[in-house]
Amino acid sequence: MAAQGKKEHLYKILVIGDLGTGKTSIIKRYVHQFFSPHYRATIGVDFALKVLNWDNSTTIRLQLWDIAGQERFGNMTRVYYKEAVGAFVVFDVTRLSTFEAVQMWKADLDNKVLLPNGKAIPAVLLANKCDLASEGFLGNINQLDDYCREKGFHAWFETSAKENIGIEEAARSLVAKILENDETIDHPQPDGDGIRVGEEDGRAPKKTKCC
Amino acid sequence: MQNGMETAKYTRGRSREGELPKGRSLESRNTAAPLAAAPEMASRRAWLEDFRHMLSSEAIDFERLRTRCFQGCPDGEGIRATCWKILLGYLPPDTSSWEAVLESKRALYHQLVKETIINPHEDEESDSGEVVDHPLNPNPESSWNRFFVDNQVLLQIDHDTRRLYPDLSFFQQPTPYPRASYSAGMEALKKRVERSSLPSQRVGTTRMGIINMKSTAKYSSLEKYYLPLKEGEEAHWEVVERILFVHAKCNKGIGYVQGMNEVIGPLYYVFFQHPDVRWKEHAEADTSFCFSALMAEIGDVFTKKLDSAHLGIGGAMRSLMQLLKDKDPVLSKNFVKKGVEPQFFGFRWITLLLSQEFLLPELMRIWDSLFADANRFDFLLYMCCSMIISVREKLIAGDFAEAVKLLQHYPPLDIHKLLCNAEEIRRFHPLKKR
Repeated sequence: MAAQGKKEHLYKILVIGDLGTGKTSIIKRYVHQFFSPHYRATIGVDFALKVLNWDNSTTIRLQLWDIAGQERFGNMTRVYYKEAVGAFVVFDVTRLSTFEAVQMWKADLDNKVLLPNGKAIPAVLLANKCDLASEGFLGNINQLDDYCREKGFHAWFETSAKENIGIEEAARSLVAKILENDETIDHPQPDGDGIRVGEEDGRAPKKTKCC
Repeated sequence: MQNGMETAKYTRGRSREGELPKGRSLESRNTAAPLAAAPEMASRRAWLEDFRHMLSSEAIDFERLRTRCFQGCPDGEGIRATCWKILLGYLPPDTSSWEAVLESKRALYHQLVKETIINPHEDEESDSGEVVDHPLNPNPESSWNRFFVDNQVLLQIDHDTRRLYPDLSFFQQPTPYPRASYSAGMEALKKRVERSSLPSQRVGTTRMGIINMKSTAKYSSLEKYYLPLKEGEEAHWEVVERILFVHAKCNKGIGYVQGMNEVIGPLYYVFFQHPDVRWKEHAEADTSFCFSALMAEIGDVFTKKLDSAHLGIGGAMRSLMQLLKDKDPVLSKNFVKKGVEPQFFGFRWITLLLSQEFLLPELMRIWDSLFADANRFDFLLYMCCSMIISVREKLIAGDFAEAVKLLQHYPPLDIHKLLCNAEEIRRFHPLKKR
């Protein structure tokens, strides 16, 4: 149990993007500090947990939802996205088509899940497999900055699950944004007793649990 | 257990705790269940002999074979491969016709390979030597255009088959029967994707105006993790890749759906284990037809358009949850309370016929029963329900995350108990005609 006054948050984060962009590898790297090129294709959804000691008074439990990339699974995403508070949208820098699909994924996300205040959930763009990138693909950083602003991404990072580049930073950036949202969103108080209690059955994706 | 030998080989020390809910109605009732306990050493011989006898008779008693297979096929002598081919309707019960049937089917497959893995260059020149087709031909019917569209599909298949059964070295090993050895001019599909994907990427411009991509990007880092094959060699995964590509080309309506690779993998593996070299050599063709037969039955769950329909995956998941509700209302309520949805686990279980949930030797035993099910594939749902109930205590005790994790990473339990419980569910809570 958390120490007196320690806050514990439970956040559901989606990892989406075209098939074969490395979503599973990113999660495995982030959660298990491990890379293998041998992951099977994700069918439906897979799910991992990561606990962060954010600061002395905050523990964060991340539920990372690894969503299958093929278009066939599109009908399932509504139930997978439910109650998510943040997302990584992943593309593969060696395959342009996966970048072109980014805006489709972002639109799908904004269309199917919103924060309690009606705003889009924060999304961070990951340019994955940067260890394989030819020079020049991400040459014009300003343009990708502009792209993110226009498409409503909170930030973007070059990542490599293989070389362990950028993933921690990207996660920190997304979590910081989620925390910020959490503090500004006015949570409805249950029954006016003024104390938020984590739901007993641990029903997933909840915003904040205060102990 | 009939799978004892192979199981030991693959489980690598995974514990096999037999977890069963205590005090529930699931403990084995000692009635004469059709799923009798696996034969012990003494009766093993008789059991094997029975299969040998059944398969060598001129006209196989299909119902009897089905009943026997439901209880599990023997591993050796290619018996399982033969039984699956019969159960899937590829081989007729009349054994005297097998040779002719196999010959014509295998010839047909080679023809399909020839027709579908086309090289558009062949049509490039007309008889007069005039160039009639070219890569920039805007006609959607042009073979060059077809070639590019096909490559999009091939790219997906290539991606998924390269990572087929990563814990098993089999699919990375070279087949002794590479296609090139009997089809001159056959180009490896993987090469076609390597060549076609990168240069074509340079052509596009993004809305960001990034156009200066260089062609030096490496295609994939995967290759170097495997032992390189010699020129002319072909890994087993490439055989699977070809079967899937031919299937996608011949079934444009459904095309290639992720997960088909997981369904085809065990079929090919089992067929390739046949001791007869001719059956081994033609494992590719045989797998292709059996996979098609299987898809004819389970294709609906792969079809996005049918997702919410009765026949699609949505209907199957609803049936599973109804079964759970009938069999274990407490657990069913607990799922609802926690927000555990069948889409989080049942989607994969059902679509892939459990192929990602068990190790291959155990899966083969499960598929014996699935294929031998008279109401294919109802038994799959009973099995899924049995799997859920077998870990009910942990599911109830855990929170949402623990429950979903447990279902997504199903523990290695005793297969025989799971099957027996599934059989019991079938007897006491039969599904209404779906």
